[in-house]
Amino acid sequence: MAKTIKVYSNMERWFHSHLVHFVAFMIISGLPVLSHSFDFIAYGVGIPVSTLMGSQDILSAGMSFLRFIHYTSAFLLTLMAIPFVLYKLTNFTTWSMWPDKWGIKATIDGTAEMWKFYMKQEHVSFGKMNTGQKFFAQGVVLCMIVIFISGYMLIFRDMFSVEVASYARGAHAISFVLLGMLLMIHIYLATHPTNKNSYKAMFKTGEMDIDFIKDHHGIYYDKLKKEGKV
Amino acid sequence: MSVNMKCYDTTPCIRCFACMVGCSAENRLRLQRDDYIGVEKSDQEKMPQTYHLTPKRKEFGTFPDSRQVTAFHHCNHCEKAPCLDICPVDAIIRRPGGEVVIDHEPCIGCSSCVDACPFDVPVITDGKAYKCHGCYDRVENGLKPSCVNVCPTEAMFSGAKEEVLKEAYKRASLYTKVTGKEHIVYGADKVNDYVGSLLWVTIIPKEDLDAYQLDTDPERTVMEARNFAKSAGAVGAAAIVVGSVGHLIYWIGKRKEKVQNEEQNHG
Repeated sequence: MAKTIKVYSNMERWFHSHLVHFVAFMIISGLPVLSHSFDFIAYGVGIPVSTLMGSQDILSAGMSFLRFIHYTSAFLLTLMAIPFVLYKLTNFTTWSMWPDKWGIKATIDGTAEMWKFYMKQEHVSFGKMNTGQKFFAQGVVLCMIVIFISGYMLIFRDMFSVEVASYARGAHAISFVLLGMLLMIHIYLATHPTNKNSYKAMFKTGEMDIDFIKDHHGIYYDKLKKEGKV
Repeated sequence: MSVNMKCYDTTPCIRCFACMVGCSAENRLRLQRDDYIGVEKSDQEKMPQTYHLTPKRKEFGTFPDSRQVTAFHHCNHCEKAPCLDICPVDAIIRRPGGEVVIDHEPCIGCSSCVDACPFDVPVITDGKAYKCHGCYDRVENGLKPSCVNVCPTEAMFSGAKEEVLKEAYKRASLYTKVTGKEHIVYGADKVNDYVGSLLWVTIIPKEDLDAYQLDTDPERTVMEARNFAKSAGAVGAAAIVVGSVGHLIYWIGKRKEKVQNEEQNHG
């Protein structure tokens, strides 16, 4: 019997690893537009750019360059997302982010399980994703959709009224702030020692030890067993 | 230098639009002065970015009691100018006289000011934002703003804020007394929290505020939500960092304790 099983497909791993690069570029290039607290990024970029281009204003040169990076990353991410979205749409109903059980009680129970695992270090049985991961995934998908639509509306803002463009700018910023907070939690938990098997599976092999799945993701293990995969 | 204020009085205005022509002519001369454009081109091309004072005509009332009103659309040089706050390259500055001015050199035409302005004032042309600068260059050299300078009926007047307000309230009081209609000085007091008070005020019958399209609650709700999200995001991010570090320390401590207990039990 194989000791490991593929839990993340090559497409999922390819998309996730490149998503990290593009999202990092987009966050770094977008933050100075969101708040003056991040002007240092624009100044840092602006010094070499203004020297090379011979422009006078460092902040403007940096901001123009960052805008170019932002637009380019957005375009490349869109191109990259097309095959991934098409691939994921083929199995829309079986996405891991959908709850195993729907309803308030199931959510409370799931949250209690997470509390037991992360705070009391008790043994619990999760699905492929725990309740927190499911909520995270749903939040990320929602924020990404809003960011994507509002971002393209801002690029092609001449097609809309000033009022609508203003709404797009607000939605873009608000959804980014939400996404940023979700990502911070995601990065912490993904790099947490207790999740090293999942981290390894996503970034290295795509595979996870069956014993680990049996021990930590009992519901998922039962599902795999039912499907005859283990 | 004292803070300057402009006042438009709707009562003596004869709709000659000299102010609008004066504004555009002055801005074309500025382009010539700064070597951006030649005389012929500046005379012949439409150049919408040179019109900082534009008419907004509106049919008002119901027939047979209807009338046409031409409202003026212009920058109000807000006390809490949202355009100034949002500009990511600090291209929008406030002059010592209070005028909110766009410096075209650093402007990257990102349209942030357009989205933040509740009066729909800034326009983007050729990758730069344009709006009224209050003729700060004239005012700082002892001249009146162009629109005020050309007004034949003193429907527009300007000067130190205190003096302009004194005159504006005096006129409003007189009109109220003569016509029996309450006249107000729009923008003299705080309009709302988003823009504060204005440095371009208007003397107008209170009942005509709508006709002259003077917004009593100018705002961009979503931009206020954006500002809130920024503040909440900063607090949230700090809380997540503190929570994550706290959780990791707690988790490691708990883990050590658990391992020790297991070793003792097995030992």
